[in-house]
Amino acid sequence: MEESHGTEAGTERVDQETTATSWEPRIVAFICNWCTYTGADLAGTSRMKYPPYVRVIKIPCTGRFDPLFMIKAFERGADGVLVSGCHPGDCHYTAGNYNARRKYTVFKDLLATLGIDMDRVRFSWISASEGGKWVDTIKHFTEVIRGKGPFREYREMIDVG
Amino acid sequence: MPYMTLDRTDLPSLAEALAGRGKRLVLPVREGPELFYREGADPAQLDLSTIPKNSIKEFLFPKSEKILEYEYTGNDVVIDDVDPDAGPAVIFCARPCDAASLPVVEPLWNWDYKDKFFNERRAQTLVVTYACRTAPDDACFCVSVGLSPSSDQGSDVLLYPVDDTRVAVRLVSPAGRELEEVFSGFKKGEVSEESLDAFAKEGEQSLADRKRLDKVKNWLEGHFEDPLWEEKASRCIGCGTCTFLCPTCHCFDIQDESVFDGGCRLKNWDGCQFSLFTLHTSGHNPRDTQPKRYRQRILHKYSIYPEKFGRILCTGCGRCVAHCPVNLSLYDVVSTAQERAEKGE
Amino acid sequence: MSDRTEGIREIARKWLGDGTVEAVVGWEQGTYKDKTSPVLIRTPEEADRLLFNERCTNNLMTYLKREPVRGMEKVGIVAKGCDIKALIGLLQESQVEREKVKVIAVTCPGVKKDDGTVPVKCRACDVNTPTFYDEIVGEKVDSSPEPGARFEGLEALDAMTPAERFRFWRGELDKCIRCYACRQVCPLCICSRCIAEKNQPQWVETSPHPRGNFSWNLVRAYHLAGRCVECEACETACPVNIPLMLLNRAMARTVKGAFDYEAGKDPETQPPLRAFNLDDDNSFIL
Repeated sequence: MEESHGTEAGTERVDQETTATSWEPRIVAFICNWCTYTGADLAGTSRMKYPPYVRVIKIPCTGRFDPLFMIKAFERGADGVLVSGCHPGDCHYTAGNYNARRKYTVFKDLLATLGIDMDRVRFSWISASEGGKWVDTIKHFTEVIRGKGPFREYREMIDVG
Repeated sequence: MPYMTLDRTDLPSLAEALAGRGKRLVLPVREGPELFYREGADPAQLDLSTIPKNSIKEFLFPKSEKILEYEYTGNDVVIDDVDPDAGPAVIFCARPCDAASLPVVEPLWNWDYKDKFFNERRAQTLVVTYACRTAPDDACFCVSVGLSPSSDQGSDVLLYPVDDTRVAVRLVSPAGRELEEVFSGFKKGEVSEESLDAFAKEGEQSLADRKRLDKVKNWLEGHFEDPLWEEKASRCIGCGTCTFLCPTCHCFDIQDESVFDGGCRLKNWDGCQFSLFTLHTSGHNPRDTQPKRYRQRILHKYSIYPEKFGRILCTGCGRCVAHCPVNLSLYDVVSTAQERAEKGE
Repeated sequence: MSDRTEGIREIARKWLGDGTVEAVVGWEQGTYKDKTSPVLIRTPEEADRLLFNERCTNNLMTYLKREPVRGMEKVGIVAKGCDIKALIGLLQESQVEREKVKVIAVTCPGVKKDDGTVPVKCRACDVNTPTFYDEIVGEKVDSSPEPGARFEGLEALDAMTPAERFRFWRGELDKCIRCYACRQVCPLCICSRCIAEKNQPQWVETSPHPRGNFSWNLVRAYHLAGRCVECEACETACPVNIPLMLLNRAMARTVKGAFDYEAGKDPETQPPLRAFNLDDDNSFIL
């Protein structure tokens, strides 16, 4: 893992927030209607347990994912963002996920160029039958984000409200 | 009456002395190929080689400013007034065209509504101006709008770089005169009033070829529709460079930024060259082409504002001439208008 | 350069005289220092205002997207090789019709910035003699792109840690005043209403505070990824001197590395974000 993002003033606040019992990671997951959402549903109906800190936003297809969704999520308080959809070859609309993959490739490099902590961004393919993979992905991502603490650097570039 | 002089090399120390005791200090420093007024810059980096690219506007009217906060509690909205994020400040070595912008826009901020944000900053800001010996840039045209390279308008103190080593000091305003002691601490000699007059004359001489723009207002009033607008402004790309670098442009937009339980209201710079500036909700846009938007800018500066407040909304700083991405020169447009007025066209 | 100026005037006169085009977009002498200024020439008599010199830095293709040029049936446009790359981008995206635009290409040994220095794009230029045009003026100029020049600014950025990069950009983007000169001057920012001007919903915060500026500059760079032809118009126009080309070139490098694509080369190809390969890199997706 590369250098932490905590600034001098920021670290102190992060410490306060992480030691307070109230803070838990806020993860926003943009997931496709056909595969990952159904996979997450399967995890639920199979009574598998995973950390409850993920806010699911259903999109029709990863092809619908716009990087602005991720920027907005970070602006409004997300500590980590996951984007997940059908495996290559399985897209309900044939090619939405292939187009999405190109977008991710470009956008993740742009975020990295700007110095956004790439551990807070995650992409995955999770099919309708992979309830277990959904659970593992959320568990692992939650632990990573918990280790990093709140992502204040982005949203607090201005203190709103 | 003689005026005291200081050594030019003492200017950074003078800046520190004036700012002393926790005042915010703004001064011009070099960043890459250009100068910028910056708050909190190291006085040792003071650079007076030319006119800075930004104006001093942002230190009195920031590009984005919170004007109130609100919170939702149940069915109610609780509104909190915010005080300006202001405090005593010194703008050190402003150019005369920047200082002169303050009395130009003051009536605007105190017209039907008294803007506490501008006024509180203005009241706490000391402006120490560095007169131009000769015009620092080809784009300068302060003499065209009744100012000069050593105008004292809007200044508390005016510094005259009378030669390569000495700077003469004239305390202009009561606030400036209160600082006599600070300046005296740096006193090295004196110059006569005549030599300051000669200095002023030299500055005006350097702009002798600039036109007086005294007939522009009349011309504009009779030429709302004129091929000039299309001819000059069809190249305009509709950005905000001219309005945002301008020391006198003052339009702003109100934006609410909210999250689920509250938010804040912000006052942000806006500019008449954007197509969105006049776009109605219906989709109709009364200024639907770039030449119309450009005409508006000229009209506001040279006709509408003078009509209402008695002053041209322009100090001839030349930033909109020098930095326009497509070199659409305001001076070229208004001096053409002046020429045509003189010819009775 | 004077023979190029003469050549441009001659073609413009002819086209305007015989009705080949309604107008010609070119450069004329500006009024400030040695700057030139874009000009719209409508009659053969005015053609003598046109010129070409090393201060013709503006990319005139930006006028294709706005009135009055946009509404014209046929328009002539003077262009350097780098400017023509933008036209190729516009053709790929069906933003202009090839038949509508008549290009007077001018061979170019390189231009100079306001401070007299040579832009990176000229040091890295591979189109000193354009290959895509209707008429061409000027002697042939051989291209010898300086190896590594194109991406040299990225080395310092690469050497930083993410936290340092974030601080660097926070400092740079804090300067942004949201004048949108970068967008307005860009020949490839073609949306008639920019996402930054939409407020239902408001995706991009319009306030020039650091977070709004991050959001805007991120979106601008992203929307130009694989499309930016590196003409440097945005960076040249920026009144607060943000190094916008660092972002644009970082994107160009990504696109080159991941999809082996360079913008503005071939009007017959698809921009990389309008296409895909089954075997695109999948290694970063879990």
